[in-house]
Amino acid sequence: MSAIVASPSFHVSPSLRLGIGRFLLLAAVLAVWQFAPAYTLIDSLISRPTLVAERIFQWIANGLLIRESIATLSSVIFGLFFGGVAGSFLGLVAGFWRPVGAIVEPWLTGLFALPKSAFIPLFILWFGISGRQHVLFVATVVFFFFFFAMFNGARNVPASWRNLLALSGANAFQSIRILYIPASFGWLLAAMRLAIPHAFVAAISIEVIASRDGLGHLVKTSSAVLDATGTVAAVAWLVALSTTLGATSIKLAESARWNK
Amino acid sequence: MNIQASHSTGVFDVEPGRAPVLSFQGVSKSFSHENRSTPAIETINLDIARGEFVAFLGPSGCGKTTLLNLAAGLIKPDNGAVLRDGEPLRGPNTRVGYLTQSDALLPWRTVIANVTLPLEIRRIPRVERQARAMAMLERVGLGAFARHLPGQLSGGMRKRAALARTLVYDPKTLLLDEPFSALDAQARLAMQRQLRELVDELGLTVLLVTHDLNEAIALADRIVVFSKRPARVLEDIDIRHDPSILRQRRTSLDGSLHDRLWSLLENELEAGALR
Amino acid sequence: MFRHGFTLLFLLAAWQLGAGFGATAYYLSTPVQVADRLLEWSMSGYVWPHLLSTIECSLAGFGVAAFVGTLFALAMASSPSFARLLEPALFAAFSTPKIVIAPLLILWIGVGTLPVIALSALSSFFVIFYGSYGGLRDVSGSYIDTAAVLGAGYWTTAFQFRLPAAGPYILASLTQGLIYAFHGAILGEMTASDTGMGYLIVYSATSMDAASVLAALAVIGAVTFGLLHLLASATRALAAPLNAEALA
Ligand SMILES: Nc1ncnc2c1ncn2[C@@H]1O[C@H](COP(=O)(O)OP(=O)(O)OP(=O)(O)O)[C@@H](O)[C@H]1O
Ligand SMILES: [Mg+2]
Repeated sequence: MSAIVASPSFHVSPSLRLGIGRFLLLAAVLAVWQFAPAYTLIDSLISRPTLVAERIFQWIANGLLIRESIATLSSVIFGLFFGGVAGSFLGLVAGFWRPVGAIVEPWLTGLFALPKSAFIPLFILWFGISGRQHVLFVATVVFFFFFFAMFNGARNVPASWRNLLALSGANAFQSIRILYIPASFGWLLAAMRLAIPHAFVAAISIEVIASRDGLGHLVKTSSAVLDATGTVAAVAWLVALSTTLGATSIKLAESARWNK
Repeated sequence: MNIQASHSTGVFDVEPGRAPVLSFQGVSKSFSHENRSTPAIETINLDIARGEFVAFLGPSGCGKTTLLNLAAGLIKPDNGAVLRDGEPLRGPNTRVGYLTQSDALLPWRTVIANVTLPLEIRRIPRVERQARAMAMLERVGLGAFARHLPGQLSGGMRKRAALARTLVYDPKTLLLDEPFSALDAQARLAMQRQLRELVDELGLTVLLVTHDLNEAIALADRIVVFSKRPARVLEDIDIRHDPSILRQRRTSLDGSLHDRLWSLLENELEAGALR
Repeated sequence: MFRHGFTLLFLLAAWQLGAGFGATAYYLSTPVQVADRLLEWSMSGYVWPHLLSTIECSLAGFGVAAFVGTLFALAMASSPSFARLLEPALFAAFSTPKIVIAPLLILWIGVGTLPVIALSALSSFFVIFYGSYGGLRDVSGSYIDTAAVLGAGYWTTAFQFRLPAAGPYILASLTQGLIYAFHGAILGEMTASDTGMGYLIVYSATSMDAASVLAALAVIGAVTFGLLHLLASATRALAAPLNAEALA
């Protein structure tokens, strides 16, 4: 009798148990955070979960968080668009016409190895602090991902496919339209998957270093006035947003694959 | 039975005033790999007359595909020249239909979109190219699979789709690299018969690479046997085409031809194994 | 090689001549100005303390990240349930731009080398962690079975079977991590320090000194390529015996 009553507790599915475990872990961290500062001097440094939550709701209510998120996301989206178009185009050209690739590719590989954020001051010096310069920086960063994707995609078009088009008498534009662009689709998805998170990092970086708006700016200004609750609230919001974006980009790349 | 097998020097007599469709003149080709150059074919002289059905036989890796690639103008010979209708070939030979060893179907296009591809590039109007592609697909028995993706087809079906694409723009010369190797015995027989009918009907010139002696005997007018790499012409055998050949060639006379080809290739294989 | 030299020469000449027109030299500077600035910096010794500070912070950050990253990866690879428990938290931390930690650190510990080291460590931690974790987790089952048959316990399996078998992966992730540590340190200096190459770039940009910004970038580029070169040869030299060992 008792065995029958007790048995359901042993049949918790593994995924549910995992979920409970993760929840308990989070709850424990939040509880320590909530109650520990009360007994220490650093209360004003890390704030508390309740205060942070309160601030986030307050900022959502007065529109600040939405406004700054839109500022950041528009830099990301426009940057992805312009950097994506420019990078894909140049990558295709460099991959299709081998001599162009031979000249351009080593230099871009070299530039790509450099720390991108170190160029932010240069962008500011050249273009000033504005939304446009954010887009420009994000576009520059994502440019590389799309360039290398299209470049490698074009380079890896199998000889048998190229021969097929050649024997039909295809010209360069027909080859690019019929063969090179569709064949690079998988590479573009991979680039997208990398470029989205990097675009976000780029936008936040330039906002932290120098800007007038955006979530990075919000973190920085909150910290500058020694507003611990505000800083942590902005960071927490940022963590949520970037995690969502990261997970979305992975899903996107996985779902849109045409070949199994 | 009128099968006459003759040993020749490799250069075939052509009707005067009419240049062979394809002519290999002292052609050699080697490939370099890690700074070492290995010859693939060595001074080949071979003329293919219009309307001829020639089978290429030879040990694996001897250079048969390389010969077809040369005929298609996809690679250039190191020495000698490949002539098409008497003119040296420059660049890809757009007058041939080339069915390569790999089917090279584009995986993101449906079967029919793959078949219309050569017509699309030749700027044939959409309606016409759809109709021609569909007719060709019916012909190879893939009418019901026109809207499928190549990934959803079996190996043999893919081969037939590729064959349809090769034939759809009415090339007068076909280069076929082991076209039926992926098919089961029955399908192979059906496809062979279909190919022979098509060739007779349209008066095509065919270069067929095969490992199947029976296929070569059954289909070809002429069989060229190559040595192991680097390829040289070992034998150039003329077997006259007979419309009822598929039936008749199962007789003992063919057995002797079969045996002769078999021993030729066997010698080559042994020579290769001993090295 | 020859062709690249030629391209470089061409680009520099175009830059030098192009910058001569109008007021663009003010923004773009010129190759000659940049070279002059580099010479001046090295002669006066102005750049060395900055470079040294960046390198020290990078090494400190790298050391922390390498230690914590590989140990953490080993712990997670050895115990899948622990790994699954932490996966979302790690992914969230990994996805978040590391630079946002800088304002927090300034708030907590002020401007200085400590936030720079922290940012350097954080930047390289994830490369090292994820790289090593992948290698450690995918250690072939036969290895682990061998360990079990030999009666190896949890720790012996982790340290004497898993760790050596994933050696090449860990090495590769560590080499990557060193570059990330260097770049993370620069990022930290740009936001939370008053020394180092990162600080030098920001300072030069604020004083509208394009030549100095470019000179500092050139130094950073040189160190990056030096590191890449060094690490490529180190990996080649070290990976060979490790691979042989893994196969034996
Ligand atoms: N692009 C290439 N680069 C280097 N070597 C090549 C290349 N193409 C062919 N070869 C070499 O040339 C030789 C002949 O190759 P080929 O493909 O013509 O043989 P084949 O007779 O068609 O063989 P199979 O019957 O197996 O298809 C082989 O040894 C091959 O390794
Ligand atoms: Mg072949």
